[in-house]
Amino acid sequence: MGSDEAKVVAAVDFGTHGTGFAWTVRTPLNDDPLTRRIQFFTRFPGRQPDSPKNLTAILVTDDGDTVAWGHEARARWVEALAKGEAEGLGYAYAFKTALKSGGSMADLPITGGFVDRADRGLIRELVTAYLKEIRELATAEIKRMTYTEREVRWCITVPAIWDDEDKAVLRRLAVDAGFPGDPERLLLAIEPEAAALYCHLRMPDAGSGPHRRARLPLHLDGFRSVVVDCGGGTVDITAYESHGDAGPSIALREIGIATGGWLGSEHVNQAFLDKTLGDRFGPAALKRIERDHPGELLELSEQWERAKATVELDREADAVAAVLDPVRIEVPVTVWDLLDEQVRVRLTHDAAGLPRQIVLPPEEVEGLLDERVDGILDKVAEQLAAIGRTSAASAEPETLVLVGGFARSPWLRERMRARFGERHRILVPPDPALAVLEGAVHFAYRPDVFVSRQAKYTYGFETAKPFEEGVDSTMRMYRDDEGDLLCVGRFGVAVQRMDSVRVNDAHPFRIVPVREDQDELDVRLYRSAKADPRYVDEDGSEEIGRLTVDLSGTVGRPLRERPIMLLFYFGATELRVEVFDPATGETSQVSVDFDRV
Amino acid sequence: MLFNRDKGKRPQEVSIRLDGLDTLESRIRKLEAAADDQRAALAALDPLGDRLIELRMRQERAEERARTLETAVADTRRVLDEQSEVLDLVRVTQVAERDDLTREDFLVHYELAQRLRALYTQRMPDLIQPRLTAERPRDVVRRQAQLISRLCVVLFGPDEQGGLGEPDLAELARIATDAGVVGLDARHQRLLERVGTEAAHLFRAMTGSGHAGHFDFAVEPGTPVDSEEHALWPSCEAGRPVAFVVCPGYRAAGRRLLETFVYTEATG
Repeated sequence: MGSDEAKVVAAVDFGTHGTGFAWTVRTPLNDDPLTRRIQFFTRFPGRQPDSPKNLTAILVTDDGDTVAWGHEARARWVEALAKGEAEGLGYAYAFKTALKSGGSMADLPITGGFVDRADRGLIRELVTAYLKEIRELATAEIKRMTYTEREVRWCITVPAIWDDEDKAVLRRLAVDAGFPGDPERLLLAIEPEAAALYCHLRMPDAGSGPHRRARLPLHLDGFRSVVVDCGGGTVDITAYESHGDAGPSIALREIGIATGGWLGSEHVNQAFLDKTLGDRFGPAALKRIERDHPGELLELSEQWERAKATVELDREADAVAAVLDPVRIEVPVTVWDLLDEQVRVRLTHDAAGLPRQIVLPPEEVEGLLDERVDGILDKVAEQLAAIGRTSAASAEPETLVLVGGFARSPWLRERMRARFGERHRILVPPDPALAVLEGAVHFAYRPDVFVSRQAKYTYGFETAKPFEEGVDSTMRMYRDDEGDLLCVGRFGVAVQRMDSVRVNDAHPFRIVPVREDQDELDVRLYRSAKADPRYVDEDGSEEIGRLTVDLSGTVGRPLRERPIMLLFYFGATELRVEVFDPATGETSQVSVDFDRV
Repeated sequence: MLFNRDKGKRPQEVSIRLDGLDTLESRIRKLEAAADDQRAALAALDPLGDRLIELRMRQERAEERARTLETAVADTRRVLDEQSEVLDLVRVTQVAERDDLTREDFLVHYELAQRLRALYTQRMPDLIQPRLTAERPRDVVRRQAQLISRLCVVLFGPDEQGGLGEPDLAELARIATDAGVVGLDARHQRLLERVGTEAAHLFRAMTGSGHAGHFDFAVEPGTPVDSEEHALWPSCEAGRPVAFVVCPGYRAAGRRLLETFVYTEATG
């Protein structure tokens, strides 16, 4: 079944903290995004009361069987620890962070039992196990409406800062989890794009709602927006410019460079554990609690997670905003009993006589939030500066779109307003935590909505070019079967960093084998942060993957009769490569193997 | 002219002609024999001709059947397409009519539940703190829970009214200040106003959402605490029966979005 015959589109927002699933039916009525009806799954097993997101957590046995996932996994893990029955079990939470290649994982994922967070192979298996669970749940929900699995087109969300190899890994893990192998039936949606799409399609026009909630006008030519996606683990900042010549479609051009970092909400929670609890309980007690009562520690963290999203602020005009109220956190009995008597007396005193409570004064709340909010604001400023440097001046200042779970924080919103609100309009959707999920459903409904993206790197491959005397080292010299003198190891540029590449445009590149008896060509793909790298092994160039092209059909012919066209599609969500053989007139897909690097 | 020719040559000519006749006769016999052979061959072919005719007839019948089948397939395909359209319509209607599916317009209730939780566990304890400090009760946890329980009743209506009455802001102030006995500092005075405003906002949002909302005050004292239905009020002891409801649970469209906060008596 082709993807156009899909009767249902379903999206999975696979997040660091929480994961959600939503779907819709393809009908003439739903073809209009304004009237499209989307269903959100909210009854996750073991989750009471129900919620549109489940925890990105999993509990497995050392045989690889899934015991539970989501909130239920957390509850079962805590129970197993309490009963001393954790032997042979492994627990992991926020493990999506381990999929990002390179860079620091900071303090995530959180693991327990036999799961070692540095073991990326195991973490990948856990991702597959988790995706399998949510796919099965989603499939069962859709099948209840008598649709078959073959009638579903799926979409999974990925952060903008993920590289091609990260996306390829996720796709492979998803296929291992039972999602379709056909790329037309399993799409990857870039999270900020999905959020922008949601803000364009579903928010009311300016006239029908408060200014800050007005629609994102992606249909206006030259309109610029910066999506700040503040998730649990990472914050992604991506900028777009709209083109008004796309007819009924939306033409977005990515401008600037997708940036971000480990600035998500979970890191604020970690600061709460390290600082607030560390200062109050003492480092030794905190270590003991971490070791013996991780479940209770998670409970404390969850209370803080909820409280930080609902703090109220003093927003008097021309005054610096301030958190108004203290935050109260209840200390579980088992943790309380572990504390020294002196500590308990002090905490009870600080809570005006209420035992088992921690009261954080407003200034402390602000300090904890600012641990990451300062970094987010700096990254937004960097992105705006990058747009100013790399793009032509715009008549209107960029609109900032704040989405993701952390965007529910009034403190983050207020600090954004204070720093950027004078010049930039700041738009926050009604439920910023679900904007990506709903946007991904809209993207899956009409994947051709985005027409171009901007290359993050210069992409190309290793090739041989005519040797240039005095420029190329003789170490790189090679004479081919026809006697031409070549320089090997040259960087054949297919697309340059910062180039705007259209989603459906092929970037052709002609390559020729160097021997007449050569029956296949191993093409190494490289990227570089430089605009015009010369060699594949120079500083800044790195190999990202390999692909093998079959040349067996033209073995023995003169080299000049054996050219092959590589067609690179850099503008799609994922890097795609096709091979066109003029000798046979055939075009075939080749997959880039990122794991062979 | 023949008669004018030399008469001596005539017998020779006649002889030649007679020889020619003999040759002709011989050729005729050969041709007749060949014709007999052909007839014999044709006679042998007669059954094949019948077979050919039969095959032709069978071909015509098969073509006719194929035409019939093609028509039937086309009809079936048309019926299947129609049925598929009907099935799609039925499925779409089924999806549209399911009231257990969560749609976008319901999502606001999750946010309202979070705001309600913050009101219960953060704002109300803070608001009631000046009165607690003034009263200096022996059991501060119990007294706090009692006062907050009274705040919830005046803000969200008693259970017999469906738990969604208009917030009584005057009564809210009376409880917070012990009928004016306890003075509030500027921060708590503002907090009192904010709590009243937030309760009014929540009331309007819940009643105006199009989904029937309900506050759940009803838990009989002595009921065992059910972790799926109830949440223990902070500092309460687990494993004890419910003494009273501190803050009501919240439901919308029949779904429980916030647990009922209950107070349990401490042992001893």
